[in-house]
Amino acid sequence: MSIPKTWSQNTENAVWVIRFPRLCGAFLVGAALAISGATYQGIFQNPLVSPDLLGVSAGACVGASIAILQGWGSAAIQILALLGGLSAVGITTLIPRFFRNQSNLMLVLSGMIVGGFFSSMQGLLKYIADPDTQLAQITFWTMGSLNKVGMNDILPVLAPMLLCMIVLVSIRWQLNLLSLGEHDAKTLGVNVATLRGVAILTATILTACSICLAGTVGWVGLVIPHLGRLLVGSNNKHLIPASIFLGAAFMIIIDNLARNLTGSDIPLSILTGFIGAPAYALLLLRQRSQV
Amino acid sequence: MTSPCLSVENASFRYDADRLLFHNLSFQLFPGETLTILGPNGAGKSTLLDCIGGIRRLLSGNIQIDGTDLSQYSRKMLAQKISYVPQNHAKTYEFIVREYVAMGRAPYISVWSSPSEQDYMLVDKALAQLGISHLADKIYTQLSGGECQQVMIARSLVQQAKIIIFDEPTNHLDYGNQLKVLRQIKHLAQEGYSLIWTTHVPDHALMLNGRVAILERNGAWETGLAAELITESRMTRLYDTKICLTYVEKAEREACIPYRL
Repeated sequence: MSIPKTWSQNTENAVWVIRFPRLCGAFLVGAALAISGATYQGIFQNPLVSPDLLGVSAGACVGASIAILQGWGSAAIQILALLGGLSAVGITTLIPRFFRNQSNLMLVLSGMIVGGFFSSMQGLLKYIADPDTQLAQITFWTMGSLNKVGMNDILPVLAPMLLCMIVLVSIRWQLNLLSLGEHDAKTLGVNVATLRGVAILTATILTACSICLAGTVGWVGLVIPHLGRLLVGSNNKHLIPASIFLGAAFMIIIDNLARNLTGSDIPLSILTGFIGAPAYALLLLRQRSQV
Repeated sequence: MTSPCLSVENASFRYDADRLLFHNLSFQLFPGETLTILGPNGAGKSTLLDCIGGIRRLLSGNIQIDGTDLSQYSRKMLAQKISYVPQNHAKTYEFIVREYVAMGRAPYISVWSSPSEQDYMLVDKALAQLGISHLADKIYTQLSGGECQQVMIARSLVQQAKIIIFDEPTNHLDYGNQLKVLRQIKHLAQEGYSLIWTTHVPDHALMLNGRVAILERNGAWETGLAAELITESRMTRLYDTKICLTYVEKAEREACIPYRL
């Protein structure tokens, strides 16, 4: 079947080379942040937890800042952000082993230690950055944006992101058991260390890959799972798929606003914060009135 | 005589080098038996339950379930043998009661799967058996303490394990609900379950009239039948307060009560 070509080559380029990758990027970033937020909230039995609990964002920021200071291109920024994010969480998970205490609390405290350390490193890198060019670039990157995303950015992270989502969707019912706490989960026959490890690893890779694509974007991982619980309940069997699509939809809307509200692109975190924070307050208000 | 479903031999445990929690503790539990564990706060009752449930590891000694050493069981296999009704449990997320009870089916469900229709049929059966079918679609976090305890018992029933551990199940319950739990424990034993539970009320142990064990703060362990082990002198020493044992004609039973204040 052939359709007569009634559009110009410019239009075609705008759709396929500029808009379509950006749409895919928004879908992936929103879905990834929301599903890893829901996963982290389940693992740590706390609905106030966001995916950067274990230091992935702080680590990614340091990685990206190093690449920017070196004057490297966007591919290097992405790779270093990914490595920075993953190694920060890696260090966080090693600390409890060192103390021979594998409790959730120990892991959260380790996350604070590592996050704090990397934040200071980030501060140092910003301090020595050239304020006119590098500092501006770092600041813009840490607020998140999809305006430079092309297919060549998406393709490398597509496979790991889809794989991690498939794993999390497959084990989603088990996340319920983790959310009962370690003691209960163990007595119900769950191999807590392994399951928690797999869930943290996949959720972290998802967050790190989304940071690769769009820089750090706040609020999505925290707010979307709450909205999901309001719509489909707390059972992760329904919450995880709901989070994927709500996150993706939310991000696509946010990115459209970012692109269209003013002449130039507004960083994503500004909008997710402006919309996410009041929305979160409303959700909390609604939950409080139910209890 | 049938073989014990649970046997604990020379079990010892300590958290740190200074304080031994219990030492060379042994007992056996047969199908249909109840074991009531009495003892002061901090004596290590919950720790002992955790060791039997495979949550903590003994310092020395061994635990056998159906003649097989605990270390031979995978977590999943163990969860099919022992269910555990904990004292404290997280109430973070607003699960529906049916969903919550279905989590008791976890030892039979693959990591990649979720409860089936059959699993939910067992859930409904357990809820009906405990007379709490009306709670099925309620939100778990909004239940009262007594209802919550019933839901926890339902979760342990669908686990279909022949040994059930209860850690202080009567805590924080009103008087009527405490006795309800006691009746349920008795009833479950009659159905062939073996139950281990802890309580701070020696009178509960007398009412249940099964096997009793006493774990003292210094780690001393005694076990025997309720009627033999619960004596005025022993209870007075254990709780450091004067306690009297008397037959109450109207209630048609031996009762264990404190003297007037």
